[in-house]
Amino acid sequence: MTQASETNRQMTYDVIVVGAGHAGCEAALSAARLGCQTLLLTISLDSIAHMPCNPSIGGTGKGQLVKEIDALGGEMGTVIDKVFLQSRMLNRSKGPAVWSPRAQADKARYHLEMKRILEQRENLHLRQGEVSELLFAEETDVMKGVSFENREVRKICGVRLKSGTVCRSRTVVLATGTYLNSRVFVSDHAAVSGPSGFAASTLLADAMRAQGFELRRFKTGTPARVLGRSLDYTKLTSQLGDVPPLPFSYLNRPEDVARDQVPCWLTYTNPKGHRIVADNITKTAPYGGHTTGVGPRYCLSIEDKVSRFPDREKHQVFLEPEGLETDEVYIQGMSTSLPEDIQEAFYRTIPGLEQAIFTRYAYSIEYDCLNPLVLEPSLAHKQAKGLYCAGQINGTSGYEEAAAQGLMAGVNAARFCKGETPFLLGRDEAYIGVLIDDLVTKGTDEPYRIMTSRAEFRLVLRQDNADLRLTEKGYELGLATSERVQRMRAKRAGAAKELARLRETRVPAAGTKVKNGTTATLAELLARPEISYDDLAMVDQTRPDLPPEVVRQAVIEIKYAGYIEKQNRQIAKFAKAENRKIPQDLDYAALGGLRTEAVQKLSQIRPASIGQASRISGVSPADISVLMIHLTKINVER
Amino acid sequence: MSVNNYKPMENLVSRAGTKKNESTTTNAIVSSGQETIAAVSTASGMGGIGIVRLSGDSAEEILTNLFAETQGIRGQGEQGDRRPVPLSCVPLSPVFEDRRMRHGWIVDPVSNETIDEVLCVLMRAPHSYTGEDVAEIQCHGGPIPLRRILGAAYAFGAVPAEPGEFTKRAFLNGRLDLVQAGAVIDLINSRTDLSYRAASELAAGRLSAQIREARELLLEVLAEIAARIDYPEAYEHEVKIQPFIDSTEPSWNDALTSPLRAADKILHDLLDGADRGKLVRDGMRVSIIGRPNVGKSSLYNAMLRTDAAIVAEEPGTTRDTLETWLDLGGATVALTDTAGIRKDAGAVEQAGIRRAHEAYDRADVCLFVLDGSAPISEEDRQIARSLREDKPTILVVNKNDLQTQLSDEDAFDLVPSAIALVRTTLTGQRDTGQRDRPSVLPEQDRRPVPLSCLAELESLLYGLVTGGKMAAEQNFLVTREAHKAALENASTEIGAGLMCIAADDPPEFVEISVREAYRILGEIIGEEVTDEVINRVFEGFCVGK
Repeated sequence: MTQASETNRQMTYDVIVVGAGHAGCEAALSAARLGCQTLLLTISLDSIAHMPCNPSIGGTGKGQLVKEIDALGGEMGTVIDKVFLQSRMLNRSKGPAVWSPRAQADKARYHLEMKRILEQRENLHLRQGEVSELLFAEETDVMKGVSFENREVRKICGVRLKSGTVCRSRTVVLATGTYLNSRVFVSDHAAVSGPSGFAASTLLADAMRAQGFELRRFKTGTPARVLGRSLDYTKLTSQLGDVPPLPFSYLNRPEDVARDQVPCWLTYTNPKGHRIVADNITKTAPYGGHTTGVGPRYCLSIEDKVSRFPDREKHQVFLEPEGLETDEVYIQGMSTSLPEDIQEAFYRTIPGLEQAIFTRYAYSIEYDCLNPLVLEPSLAHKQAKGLYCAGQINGTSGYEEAAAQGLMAGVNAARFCKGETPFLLGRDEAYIGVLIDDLVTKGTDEPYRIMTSRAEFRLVLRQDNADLRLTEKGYELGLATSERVQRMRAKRAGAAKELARLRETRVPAAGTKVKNGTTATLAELLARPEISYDDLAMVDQTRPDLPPEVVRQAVIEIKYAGYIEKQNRQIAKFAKAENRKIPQDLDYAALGGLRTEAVQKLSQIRPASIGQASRISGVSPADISVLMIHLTKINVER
Repeated sequence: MSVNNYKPMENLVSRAGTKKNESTTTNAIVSSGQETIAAVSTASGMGGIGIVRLSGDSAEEILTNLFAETQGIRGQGEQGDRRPVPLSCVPLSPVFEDRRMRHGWIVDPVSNETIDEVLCVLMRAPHSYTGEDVAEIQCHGGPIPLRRILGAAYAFGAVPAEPGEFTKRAFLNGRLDLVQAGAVIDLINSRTDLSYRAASELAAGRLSAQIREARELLLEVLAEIAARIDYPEAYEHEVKIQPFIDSTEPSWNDALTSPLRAADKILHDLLDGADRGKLVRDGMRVSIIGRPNVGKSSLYNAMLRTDAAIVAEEPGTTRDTLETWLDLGGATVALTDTAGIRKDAGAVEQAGIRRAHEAYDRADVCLFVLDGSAPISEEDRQIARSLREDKPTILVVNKNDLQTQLSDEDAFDLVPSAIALVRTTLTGQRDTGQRDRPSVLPEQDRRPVPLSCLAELESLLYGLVTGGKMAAEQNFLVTREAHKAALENASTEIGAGLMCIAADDPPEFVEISVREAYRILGEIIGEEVTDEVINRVFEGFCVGK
């Protein structure tokens, strides 16, 4: 490790993180926690951990990601626990596997809280500055303009700032978010700008293109903001948080996050508003042909909703407060790039918004990003040694997806510095594993959002057990504190003990809807769908006083034993193929017997295992068999 | 509470850690895990002997379940009756010695009837072709015994082998020389080409159309579940604007159960047709029954000597039941002559009668022969009473050259469910005419018969096989045992999903079964599960922030 010295201008950092959004913050914190001298660069210190779109953290799939970030020792969970305005567990009516926490964030306080944590972090140097170029150790003029495929792998050695300053480092984590060459559109008006009026990064993308990086263009959008005092609340339906709210962080107990919560409000669009949108649809940026970026299907603008679902008489609109110290309200579900006057006309057709006062208008934003197929599962760039990428530059969308990648990229950059093997999570271990595997194996053609449907093993990847799954790993990495791991171990031991007690304790079954005069174990009774843990209280004489999260683990284990067992069998099968590694220097073209398409795909993606190879589109089961045979042959010959 | 559930990889590493286990771990990766594979390993067609081969950890268990050791041998040494018959059809869990041939019977796990007389051998790992436990069942070479044995093996948990999979496993377990690697790859590719071609042909057909339809329904369910789970707020909104919100029934039931039931019905129709699909490929069993001396054997012989080609001869279990394979213009028919059925029979004859009843039970179609020169007898009535309405019966009124005592009406009154009546003039007189091929039944006689009568009967049978009542309107599409097994598995998963819904389990549990059914059906038509579900959610649901 390089010894830091504040006064030494020639110092070489271990890790430079470019961008201080949700990915960059987690990346910088993880690298610093692992003992690396880390520099975090951002265009504006006032945009740290900014939420340019929804003022919320979590949701389906996303909530699981936050829990996993927290379980590993990341920061997102503890910060949102401090600043949430309202918190709800989504899918409570469904089974535990798909419960997903979601919280409304106080946007400004979230930013300030994260900034404070970064400022206080040892080994971490936070500074404002725009990166204009990535610096490579073996870069020569000959390489410029030559396609990447034909190049030798280069080694990163730092970044150059717009001011001309050179910062040297052994690794760089790119977390540029939506800032890279970003353009903001309102109808046919386009401006070079980052989100929320922050400056765009104008030099880095061109420099990267000149260096042979292939970049592509994605887009997303955000709705208008209005003043809360201009809303007619009598026409809105309130939506309240859970009482008590449950924390995101495993370090917090429910009583630690108890507070007065702020309601959100629900209203609906109507055909009158839809007509305004439809009549003016050619004035929107995409329908008017002003943007070329690919937008996400799960985050439809109002013009998309109206044109794709013309039969719908109404669409729901959630009004979400942006903070305690501001009256600004976010109009969820209503992003658009209509001209400002038409936006106003449309929004004011919505009941409750007739007199709305607009503080910010909706816009769409286009930005440069990479095709994630150029990345290793460690999030390292395949052709640039020491370069890691996280967040929207990898084609994802969402604060939680960004933070999850940031944590992994920061950890792996740090481990690269220390000469350690990458830290990877499998699809069977975490949503983070699903997210990264999807990106580097399948790629994405639109901004990627995590969904529980993407996690084939979601029954065991629950929000209630992320600590049991990951905290031990986080502790071994040096990321999770001993307090964290001790809490987790106590929960694990408590749940195991309670599970054993439930399985061993026999009670007379009278009064528990079971035949009189017989006895049954508590576990047998609990396995019945109609009997809950609370129902058993009256016959359960020896019940200890346990924290709810401990009881929950034991109950889930009993109630869903059959399903979990089935899933574990699927996982065992899956893991075998994952453990069958493929040498990274394998020359697929020379193997023979593989179809041409398979050779191309395998050469491009370079899967780490047979399991990963089998998930690549265009690689058939027969190709996998052929590959297996070659691998066996190679192993025997060695 | 064990943390093991959350660390499956570590478990596996430790389990597979010893050297000894490495070979099985290796092969398990290939495609089908540790599953035991089964396939017919002799060339298709009507060879004299066929071999069904199993490979994998459960090979011995499956073989033990299927195999009934010969417990006693009846009529041993007697000329013409050398074949042993099982006294008991219940498997007695024989213990197989390594690489030692055993003689016995394969017993159908469902009906408990014997399928075929076989020789079996078990070769324990690693001393086998694949390096795994391998069982080989040598049976008679006709398609029916092979397919029924294979089907029985599937019923006990074997799965159809992938193209070239035995050889692939052999290679991966180090049973083949390294220089053979290229040959193995060629094999996989060539077989894949073949199966790909078969799959393409299939794709053009109605089977894949129907499977697509079922998958489409399942996709609807999966997308519905995904939308509800991943967009709960959008879904809550949906519920609010729907009138049935007052219903006490969970609102998601109907939207899931009806497409699931519809999909299951498609699979059931296909499976119903599967048995008839077999008729086309494997032939239809036709048994000739009737009381003694009505001309059953004459009919049998007459049918043998028409222009129908004899494709195989298989004596029945005893001399008194004879079975022959005929090819009626492309449609295969297994014709069985049986002993005459009558009340006052001696012990030996009764054995023959019992087998006549067995032949009737096995048959797809029954030819009930009546004596046209005599009124209906009590024995005829007794036989008629034993006939099942669901088994197609064709009445053959014989001896019409003599004075007819039996009207069509009487005959149909006797068997109201009969689908046709044919009059023939066959008698048991010795055949003096030329034979164009050696008789397989030396002591039986033949003589020319009016072709018109037989032709009528044969065209009836042909129609039944290829396009008649049994075939035409039915789904005639499932002809491969592997497909049938897959359809059954998919249907089982759908059933599990429906039970989940009935038990009010949360939708993510329903999803597990439905997704599995969706995946299985995709395998039949060669479509992968990719992001179809997510795509469908975005297409069909207006979701998002």
